[in-house]
Amino acid sequence: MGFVMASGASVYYFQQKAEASYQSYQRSGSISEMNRLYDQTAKYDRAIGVSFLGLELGIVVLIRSFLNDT
Amino acid sequence: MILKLFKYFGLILLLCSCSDRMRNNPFDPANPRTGGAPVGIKLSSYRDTIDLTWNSIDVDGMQGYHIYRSIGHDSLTAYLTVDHPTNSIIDQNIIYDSLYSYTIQGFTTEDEGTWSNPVALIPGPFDIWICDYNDFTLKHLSYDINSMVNSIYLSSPVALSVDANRNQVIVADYWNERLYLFDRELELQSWVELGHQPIAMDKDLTSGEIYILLDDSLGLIHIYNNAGVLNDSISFPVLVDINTSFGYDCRTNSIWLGGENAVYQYRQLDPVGYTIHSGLTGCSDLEIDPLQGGCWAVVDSGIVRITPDGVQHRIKWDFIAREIGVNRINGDCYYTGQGIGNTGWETGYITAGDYTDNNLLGDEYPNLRHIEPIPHVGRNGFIVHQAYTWQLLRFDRNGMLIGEQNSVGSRIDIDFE
Repeated sequence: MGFVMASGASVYYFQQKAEASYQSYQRSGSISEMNRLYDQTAKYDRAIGVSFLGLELGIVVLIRSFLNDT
Repeated sequence: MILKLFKYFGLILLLCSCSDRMRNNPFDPANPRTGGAPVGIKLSSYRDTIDLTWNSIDVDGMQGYHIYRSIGHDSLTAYLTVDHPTNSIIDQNIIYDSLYSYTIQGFTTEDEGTWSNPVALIPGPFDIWICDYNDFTLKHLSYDINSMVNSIYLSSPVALSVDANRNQVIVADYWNERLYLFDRELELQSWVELGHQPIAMDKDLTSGEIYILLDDSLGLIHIYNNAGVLNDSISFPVLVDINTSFGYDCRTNSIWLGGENAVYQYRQLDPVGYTIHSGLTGCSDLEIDPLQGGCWAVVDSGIVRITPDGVQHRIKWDFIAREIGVNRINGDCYYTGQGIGNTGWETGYITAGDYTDNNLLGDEYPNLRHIEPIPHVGRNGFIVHQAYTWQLLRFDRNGMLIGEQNSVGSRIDIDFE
């Protein structure tokens, strides 16, 4: 249960970071800065993906454990 | 088991590497739409000014735009810098008939963006108006015809007349049997019920009166003043159809009309009335000589100049002329057609003074159906319409192609503003 909650929180956290970073990219007037921000956004997006997989995995394990208990 | 684990690992990697964010910062050189340069660039000219507009780049620290310009075939050089958020300039005191090219580059406090793709036009003293019967449009084009300033749909525009001094564009609509009066922004001011289908229109440049040939059983011509009030009606004893051509000759105060077996001249102040210029069969096009009076006519086997006193000069013989157009300022007659016996296409002009025949284009431009010279004291380019490609082509005084418009129907009328 704790793993699922932690995964959900990381999805939310990285989502916020990615959005902020992408918005900064969209507003940036510096080419080097916009490249950095775009790369950073991509990293956060990847972190969202990993967190989301963890979340899904946790949910599956949780459901299975409930089924095994019954 | 190991293979299965690898498959899952691959799937996880694939999902983890997904990022569908677009590089949509307008200043980003990797942006697939802008490439980091200003977009939405529009270039238009009106007489001796050129308007250049573009979409602002809205990013942090945006300071302004460098504008680079070239005239003729010189390379682009820095011309002007404007502050953000200005997104237009007016280039004044330009030279007619010269190629003007512009490129724009945005700059911020940090960096300079990429140059936009160059845009170019050739400014001139006129704008060009076209009504296209088959495309149902009235179009306002730039001098080089490459850009469309404005356009409007009409059901069947068959003829037009533009009066720049009165800010008036008059269009005759065939199926609605109406005369529409627009201003140059194409706002409809009023219309006039004609009672018959209009075929062709001409204008008295001095009085502003409009002459409309109507598709009555006989050639009926209505004369309207520039406010659209009917002043007079004249009936010709000639069967007319949608291809009948006529013109008003302010030098002799006559109306000339091309018939099947003769060219007819009606002198408005002459009590005798009609003069029939016989021996001219199958008149398919007729243009008034604005300097001397009289007309040029396309007949079965060539082009004939009829002087105001009725003398016929057969200028181009054994020639199937498709259309003629007269330079309104110097009276030269431009033509397009084929030699009898299918000897290839010819486009050229006949000088008004000595009837010298000058070649402009050869068989490389076939099927030309309409020709309109650009008014000028000397030779100054022309517009032709090509059938089958349905293109309008604009040539400069040296016979160089400088402009094109696509999807232009087979029946058009052209006027200059």
